[in-house]
Amino acid sequence: MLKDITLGQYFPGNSLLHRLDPRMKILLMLAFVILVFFAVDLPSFLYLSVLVVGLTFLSHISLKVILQGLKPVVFISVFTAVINLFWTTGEVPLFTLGFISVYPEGVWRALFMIIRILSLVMGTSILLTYTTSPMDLTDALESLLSPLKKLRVPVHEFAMMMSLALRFVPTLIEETEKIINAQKARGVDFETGSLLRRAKALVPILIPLFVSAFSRATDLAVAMECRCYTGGEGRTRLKVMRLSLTDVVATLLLLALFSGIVFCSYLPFDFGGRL
Amino acid sequence: MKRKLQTLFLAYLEKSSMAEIRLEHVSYRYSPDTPFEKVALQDIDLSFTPGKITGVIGHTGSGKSTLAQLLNGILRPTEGRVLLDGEELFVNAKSRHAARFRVGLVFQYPEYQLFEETVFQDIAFGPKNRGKSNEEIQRLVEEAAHFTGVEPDLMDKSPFELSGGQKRRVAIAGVLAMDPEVLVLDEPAAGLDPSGREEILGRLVTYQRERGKTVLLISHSMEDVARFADELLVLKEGTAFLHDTVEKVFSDPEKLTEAHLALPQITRLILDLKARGIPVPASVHTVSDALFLLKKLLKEGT
Repeated sequence: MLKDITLGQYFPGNSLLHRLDPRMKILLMLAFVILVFFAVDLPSFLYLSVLVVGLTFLSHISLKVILQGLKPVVFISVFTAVINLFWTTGEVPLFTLGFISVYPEGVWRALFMIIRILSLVMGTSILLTYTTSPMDLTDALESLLSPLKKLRVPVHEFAMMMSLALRFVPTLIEETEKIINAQKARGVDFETGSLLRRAKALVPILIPLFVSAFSRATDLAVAMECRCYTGGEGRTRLKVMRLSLTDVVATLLLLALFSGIVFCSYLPFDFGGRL
Repeated sequence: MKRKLQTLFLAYLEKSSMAEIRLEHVSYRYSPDTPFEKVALQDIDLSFTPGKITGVIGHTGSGKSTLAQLLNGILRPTEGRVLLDGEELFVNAKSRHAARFRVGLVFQYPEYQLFEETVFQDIAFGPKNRGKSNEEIQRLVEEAAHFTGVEPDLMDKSPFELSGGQKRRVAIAGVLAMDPEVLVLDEPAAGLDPSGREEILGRLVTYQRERGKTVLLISHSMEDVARFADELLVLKEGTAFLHDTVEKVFSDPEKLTEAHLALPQITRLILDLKARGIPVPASVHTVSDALFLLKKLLKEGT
């Protein structure tokens, strides 16, 4: 059910990736996202796949869990692959079925696209969401964006809003399930009927959900004010982030590994497929 | 004439609608076959006596709420079957949907299920889903409101304007109005003040007595089940630990302690008195009974 969503979930642990400074992880993730697009041929995509599997081992999160987290992107990757398979034209078709011709270039493209999407999702979630608690993540964002404070951007407030939003995702999911069950017990039928009927069946879910979300927000605001929350000015932290030498070394090493993608794409081998 | 007979017959049917719920070796596990697997109920095999109030009691995490959701097909048992009058609940989507109306389930803190514009419409939501005619809905809503103590002048108000206690009553009325044969109440009085508790539980018992429904009262308050239930089901770590009449269950305090439960305070007081040599019977479980007994004893002038 709703609870099975793992995308964006945090798995507590004590691996190297868990301990790495979250600010560095954000920067590494950005680097990773950019470097993925340098993979253009078979060697570089092979390297990318090995890299992502390596990251999985580094994070000590079981491959099974990570693969489960990929479920939501399976459809889009298959869809992209199919489109690329049939819409790429080359010189000699592999085979022709009526008006559809499949070229070897298309097969390569489809394969590369799947690897690209899956490694993007896996890489970013392992680097960031799976191994970084939401609180660390928002703290890191705040710290990285703090130069913007000079431009009067309310960085702290944005970070606080983000951490509150993240904090309430599981709560709201739980709440939604509770409301769905209660309305099911009153005979709401979500499974049958026309689309319009099913959409109408959502009203008894959404209204209570909004009502409770608003009342929760009010309660939270009052509770924060009672504890004298006034915003970022002069606020100290429980956990102060300090960059250690290990963090720097680990970051540089990972960055070097990521750059391997670029290196591989310049290797003088030709396997036919190239994006 | 024929019509009149028909309505009489229907009314009779309604009064005698005592459905039997039976659980056959039911187990329930959350997230089965994953590292997060958690056994909530283990091999429950029993049936609830029709037309009686069965109190379901147990320590936190003993599986009370899971049991409630199994009874009307919100949750599907991992193993075993749930039978309503001998028919299985989980045959197909249709049978499951039908069971929702036959077994009314009031969740814990049911206020959050209110959503309609007026109290009347909200109570009418269940019967409307059941496909009742407008006249019937009118009658069912009025009856449900009467039983739960929702005053007629509240009917046109928004449910969000009401006080906590009123919301609770409206929410419970919303389930009663579906006219279920079995009523499952998960902590219906949780979070109410003492007089609110008293009133809502008292009203639900009146409803049960007048209609002869099968009622399951889930609670963690020994005092409440002692006062209102005919039979008790004690759950312990997901198993049916004891299932008997209130007297029999309370006659063995040690066994209750094993299930991390204690006798009602008043029973403990009476047992204390008995241990000190005062001639009192052991089976006094409610304050009013104890009051009556003690008054009598004092009058006799010991």
